[in-house]
Amino acid sequence: MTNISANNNDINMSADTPKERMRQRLKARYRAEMRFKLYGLGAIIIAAIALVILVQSILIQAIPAFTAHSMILDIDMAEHNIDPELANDVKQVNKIDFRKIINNSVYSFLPDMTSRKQKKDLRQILSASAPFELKKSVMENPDIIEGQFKRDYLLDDVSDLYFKGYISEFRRLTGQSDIQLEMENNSYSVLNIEQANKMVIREILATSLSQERDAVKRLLDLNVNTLKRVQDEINSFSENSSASNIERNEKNKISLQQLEAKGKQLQSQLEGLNLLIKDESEVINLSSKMPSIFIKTGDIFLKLSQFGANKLVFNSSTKLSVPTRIEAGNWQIFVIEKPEDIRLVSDQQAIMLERLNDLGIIHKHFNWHFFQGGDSTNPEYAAIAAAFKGSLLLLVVTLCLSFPLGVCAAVYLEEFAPKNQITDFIEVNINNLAAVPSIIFGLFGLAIFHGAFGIERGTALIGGMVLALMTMPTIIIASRASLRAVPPSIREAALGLGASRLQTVTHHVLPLALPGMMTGTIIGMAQALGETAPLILIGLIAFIVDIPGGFTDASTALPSLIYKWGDQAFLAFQHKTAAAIVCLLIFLIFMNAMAVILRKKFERRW
Amino acid sequence: MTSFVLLSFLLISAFLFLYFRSKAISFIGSTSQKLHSRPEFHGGAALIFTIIPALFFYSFVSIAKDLFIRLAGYNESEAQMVASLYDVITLAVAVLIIVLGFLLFTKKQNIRFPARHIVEKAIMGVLFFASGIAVLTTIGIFLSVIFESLSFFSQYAFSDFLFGLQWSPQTALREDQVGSSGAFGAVPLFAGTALITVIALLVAVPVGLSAAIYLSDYATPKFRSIAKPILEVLAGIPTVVYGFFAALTIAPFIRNSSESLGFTASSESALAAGLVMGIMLIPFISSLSDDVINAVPQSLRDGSYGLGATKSETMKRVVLPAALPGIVSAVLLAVSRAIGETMIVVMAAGQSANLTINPLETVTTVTVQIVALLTGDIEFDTPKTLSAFALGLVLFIITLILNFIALRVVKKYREQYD
Repeated sequence: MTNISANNNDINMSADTPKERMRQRLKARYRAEMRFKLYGLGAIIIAAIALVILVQSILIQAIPAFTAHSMILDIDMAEHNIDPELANDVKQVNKIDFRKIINNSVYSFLPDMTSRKQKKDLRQILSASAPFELKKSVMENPDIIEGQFKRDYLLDDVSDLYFKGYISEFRRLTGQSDIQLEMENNSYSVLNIEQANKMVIREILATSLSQERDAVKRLLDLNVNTLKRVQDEINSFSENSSASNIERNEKNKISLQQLEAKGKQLQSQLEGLNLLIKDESEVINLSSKMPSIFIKTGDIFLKLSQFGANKLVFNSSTKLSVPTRIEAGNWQIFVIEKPEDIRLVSDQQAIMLERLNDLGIIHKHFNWHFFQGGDSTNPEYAAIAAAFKGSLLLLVVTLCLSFPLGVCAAVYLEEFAPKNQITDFIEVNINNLAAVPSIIFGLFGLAIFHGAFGIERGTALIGGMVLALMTMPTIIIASRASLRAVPPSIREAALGLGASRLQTVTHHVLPLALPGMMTGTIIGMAQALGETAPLILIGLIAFIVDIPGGFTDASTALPSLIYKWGDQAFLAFQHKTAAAIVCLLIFLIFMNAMAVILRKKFERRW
Repeated sequence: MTSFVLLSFLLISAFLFLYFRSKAISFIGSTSQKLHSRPEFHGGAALIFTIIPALFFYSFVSIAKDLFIRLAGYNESEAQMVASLYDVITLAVAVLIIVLGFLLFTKKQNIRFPARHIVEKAIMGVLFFASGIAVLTTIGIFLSVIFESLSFFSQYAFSDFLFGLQWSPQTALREDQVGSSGAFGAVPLFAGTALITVIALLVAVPVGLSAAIYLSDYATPKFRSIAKPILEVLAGIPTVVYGFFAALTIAPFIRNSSESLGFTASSESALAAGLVMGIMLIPFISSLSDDVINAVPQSLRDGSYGLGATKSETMKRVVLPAALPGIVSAVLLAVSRAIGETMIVVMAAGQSANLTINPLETVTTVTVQIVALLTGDIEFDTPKTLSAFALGLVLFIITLILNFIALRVVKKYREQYD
């Protein structure tokens, strides 16, 4: 109300009558009312926006993980003359050099890539897990060891990201005119390139150069500021000439000189860049700090190294013969906009990827593997099936322990417990347990279940036991509420017909309360499914490649997998993490929907 | 072995149940007296006399066996022999218990035998035990953290832990190296936890409370039916998802925007973790405050409206003061959640123990350190591992006190208006 008293003066001036004054005050009060209402609305909008941003940011990151690029390899096992006996024996099969078989098959696509460096780049296009996949198929079906077959293998995560467009932006322009190539010691000059194409190239280079200029400008500003500071310090020290100050000024003078030299260098660099950007007649030499621009014809990629008003100079490391004349429509300008220095894929690798793609052996498909395998250190082969199974096992253990115990406890407390201090103590304990941080349950599981009872860390059994204790309070609270909702008349009728108290509860009250209990249990299970901290402590974050078979196998869970992948630096892992989150959320939505349906179907108003 | 024993126990119990049930049925009509309990209760009571004590004995000895053999310190072949000997003896005793129980029950069973009372008492015992699990868990939690903490404090002074300013638990590999003992001063962790909690509450309390006020007294039923699910979805999202969101979306955003404003921010800033934790706590605060605001009787509101107050004046001067204890306890519960929250801070806050109040710097929290200390292969008895339990003890005690106060306030307050 302070604003009203502050406004009193204006009100008095304009308002002569008490009535007018009251109207003014009422207006102010309604304004305050409106403001207050808007705060509340704003709060809900903030919550909604937060939810939208969260879901959107995760979905955007998740989408690329649901597709993958594979390469179709022609694998000729016969060529390697492998003893068919090896394939039948689990121990002997490791003697086969699957890596070599895969690599040879990849090399065969680009036979002109012969140097060590080129071969290394080439084989790294395919996932490092491909040989293991081949081994798996040989072990499943030993007959293929003597034959030829085609099979899909996932690309390495970086190559995959290249085709998904996360490495750089690309630009492809079809050549509009015939061009003439003149060879002079390992480089090719093009004189008659069409003006339109040239303008585009010029523009790309100018953009990149002005970015470089901005960076230099920032450095120069920094240099000037530092220079000023050092100069000030020298001035202030020279006023008070103590021994230490003189010594420090000596140092300052040296750094001053260095800074000045650096400043001059930057200045000239800036002027040079400005000239290049403005003056179209200047010759631009391309560096690896600038976009890579190629002329592409067939398998041949020529990289632009010098851009002049009259002449474009291209370099090529290809062994293929370069034609001297290319007709319009047969060549392309291919631009990788991100500079080579800050890009994960080198020019050489990009050329290989483009050529392989042109061969038609690379195809995009839905990433089925993501839902089939276990964890992997190679992001392209990392999958969620093992963690998903682990989560299911955890839920089974949790449900089997917490549902009966929770229901029994609720029945006792609600139907039978005498009103005394012991009951009060139990109730306080249950309410407190519901608010104990989950990580404390992890410590408890570690010290009691693992330390004292000796249950292995990292199994679904110990994880489920800990989660059961955590969800039990939720189930007890929900079950008590649904027992309370059963009207006393039901109990009285049963008791009146001579049923014992236990019979009343088991035959009449429990069946009526069960849907509500189950709803509470499903919600508790959904909480348990998303719980991570206790699982980390009791070791359910191991690196699990195989899908766990039972409750005492080492397993992991979906949320702990998300935690582990989320820590990885690779972009591909980031996508996979978001995709795993999407799967977890879908599972949670499914469980909650089940709870809602159950409630809707069996809900009974008395 | 165990599964075979359990299976045969199951078969025997099925047999005993059916046998004594049919025996009870055969009593009917033999005399003019009525059967005291239904035949099923006779079957059930027979199990209580035979199988259940045997099962108790068997499982107790099986658990104790490992512990005993470990304590006695046999070598491996001896241990195996002793174990198999134990198995045979245990099984024999269990069978003996069943036979004795069988004989006893055959002698006791007659038409007036109160089988129902016995069965119901046993079931009541089971129910009581189930509700007692919560107490056992609390005791277990307390014991598990206190024992390990005590052995930590026997190696490291309690006051140094509580008031020390240096936290560097990484012990060196060699004994004679510098810092081989590690430093376990927990003040930087407490400060980091407090900083993140304060940021989270600065977000969650105003937003959550305003949302609760709007939903309870202003919103139309239609609006409520849209807004409530939004808050419920926010509440249902697992914290690890919030952690991922904080680390990969909010933290880079904060770093970039503060850099463009001329501040230097760490990539794992306290602000990112605190903001996201605040978002997580919004539905928590709003649903708890919604409950207490709704619990304020309508008559108070009507009285205020009758005196000519507007809705907001009623809310600010009548309803909120009346609901204040409940709101305070909601905030206390939120504080306890924020202190104990793990995944958001593990993923978005850092590992380095800085003593700072700058929200753009990296801080670490109690829970982050517990996770860091206990991830991977752990050895008990090293101060590094045990310090995690000491931190757990502090966390447990603080959250317990907060919860206890909050729940008491809620309970007391609720009684006032009922």
